[in-house]
Amino acid sequence: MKPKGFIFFMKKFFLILLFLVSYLPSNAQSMVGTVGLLKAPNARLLEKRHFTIGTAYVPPGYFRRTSGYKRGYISGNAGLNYFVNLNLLPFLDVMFRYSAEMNVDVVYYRRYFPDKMFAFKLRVLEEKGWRPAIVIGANDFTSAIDLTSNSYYSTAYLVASKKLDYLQNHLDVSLGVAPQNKFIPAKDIKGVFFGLEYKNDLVKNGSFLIDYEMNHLNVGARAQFFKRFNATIGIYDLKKSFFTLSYEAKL
Amino acid sequence: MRLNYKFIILFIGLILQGFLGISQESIEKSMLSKNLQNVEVSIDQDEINIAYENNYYRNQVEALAQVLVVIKEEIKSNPLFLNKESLPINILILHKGVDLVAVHTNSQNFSDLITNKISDDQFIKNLNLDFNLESIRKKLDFSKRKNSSFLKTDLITGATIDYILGNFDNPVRLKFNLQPELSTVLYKGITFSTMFNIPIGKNDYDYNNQSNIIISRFSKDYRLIEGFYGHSGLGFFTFNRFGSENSFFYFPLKTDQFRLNAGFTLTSNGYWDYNYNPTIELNNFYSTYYLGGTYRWRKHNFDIDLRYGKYLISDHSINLSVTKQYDEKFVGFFLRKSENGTLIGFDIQVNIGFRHHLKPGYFRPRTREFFYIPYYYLPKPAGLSFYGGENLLLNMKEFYPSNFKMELEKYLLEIN
Repeated sequence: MKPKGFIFFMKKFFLILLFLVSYLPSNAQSMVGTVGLLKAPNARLLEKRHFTIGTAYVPPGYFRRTSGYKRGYISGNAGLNYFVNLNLLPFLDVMFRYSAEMNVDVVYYRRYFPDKMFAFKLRVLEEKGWRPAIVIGANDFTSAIDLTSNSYYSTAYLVASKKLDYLQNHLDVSLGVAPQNKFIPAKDIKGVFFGLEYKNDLVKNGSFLIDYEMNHLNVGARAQFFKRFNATIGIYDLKKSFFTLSYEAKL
Repeated sequence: MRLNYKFIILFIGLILQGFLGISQESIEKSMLSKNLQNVEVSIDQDEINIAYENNYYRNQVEALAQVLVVIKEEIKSNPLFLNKESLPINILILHKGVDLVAVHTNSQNFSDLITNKISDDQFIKNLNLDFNLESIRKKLDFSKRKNSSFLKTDLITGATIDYILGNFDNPVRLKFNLQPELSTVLYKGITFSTMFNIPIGKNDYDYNNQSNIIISRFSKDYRLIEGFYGHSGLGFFTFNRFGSENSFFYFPLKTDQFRLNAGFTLTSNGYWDYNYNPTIELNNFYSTYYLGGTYRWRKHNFDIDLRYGKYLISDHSINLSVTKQYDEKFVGFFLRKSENGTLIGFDIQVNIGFRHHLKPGYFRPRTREFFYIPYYYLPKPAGLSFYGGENLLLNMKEFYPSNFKMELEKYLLEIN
């Protein structure tokens, strides 16, 4: 059971986020660290020459241990993802991330070590007219090219996103698939996933998000403040709270 | 009769000068006021040729923008010139006294900019930058250059961070190093420099907390033929190497789009100890070499570099790297595969220090212009080489035509 104070704080934080705003949100990070919805990726990239540094809180019961005793299994502890995401080319984002398990002492006999991984998103089709944007991406793919042996977060996916506007309402709908394959096994995101991001002109710098992946339905809200910081909070699997916080700037 | 003859020649010269309307002295004076060095301006009936070297602005693009504005203002202040037939204008940019890259344009381009017939963006598109230098070099006389950059010493201070990740009891072990360097360009491309390493603060990276000299060398940067540049160094380098290191660039297309790279070193174990005594083992020389090519996707300032060679730890390695240049900043990813294993990682170089240094003089302290840090995702010792010190080839990317073209507009807008 979460302490009452924590839920109270999260509700207040959620409301505060809606108001701590400045103009025009950019495409912000998902829990994974790449640009996306709450957990599922979408077909959006960072703005040209932009980079982000941030962290994402993975709630307990969903973080997979990556070293030591019982690695590969849900550890019961929460986790923190630390990521750096860069728009390397106008059509290519690359990300580097460390995943650390919380509440674990770093001592020799535990043999604990944070997991590290690369990810990329490559836009193959730009959104135009009725045509959606299409991106292919891969997370934790270095084992596929024989460079590492561990790949706890591997995923390869194809995702399409389309913006729909009606008066003051703006909907960004995404649909994708992360098929199981022998080169990059689908571990972190598997199968069909989808989601949407809803914005209204009345709340210029905030949005509401829903996504579905691996039998988890996630809801949340996102806001940008001080023109540099993106924050997302949500309920993962409609059970546990999580957040993502990142700083964005232009190179 | 003789006196009259001379008087007539002088009179014709004055008429022509007035007809041309722009003054060599005026452009030179303006460029010198921008603290540029090795300045030469040559104006005749057929064309205008200008040479300069920048050691004042941290960014070479900003220096070129200043020169272009000087020319523009000079043309603007001579309205007669605006209506004249277009005259070629060539600018030769030097580094360490070595001719490096040329900018070709004409007076019509400037006139159209002044009269607002074209935008800054179109003006820059009309500039032609390349490594075709011979035609300009023949028109210039090095001996006439003003504000020489030679025999002037810089005390350059930089910093590095050594680190190891991953020990269970101490996940990030750090060592901060201050690295002051004395550097003097003696003559065209001939440099003497000495770099000290001074550990500062807490060190849990290694047990070396004493200062010592890590680089001490004479080097020569040169341009051999059109598009061919080289660097040779002799002295002490990092990784306790003593000997000779040489590297070469060849641009067959005379632009930065494609480049052939080669290099070789012949070094032995050698270093300056903590008492500043040199130690050299003369019976243990070892050679390394590499050969490769670099392709630049100029639309995005994105380099793909592939090379093969023999490296420092007796391994033969294939090295692949991709680097994105964002003006003065670089982000790169590299992969090196050799008998010792595979090394992959990324590196970041960012500009630091002040946008303008102090005015160049006989002795000038300044900050190093960049901070570099690599990250080794898989830290195998593959394809390693030592660092021989800053040189023309390492700085070449600042002078790349595509970099000038991409970044010039923002500096022109700022200055105007």
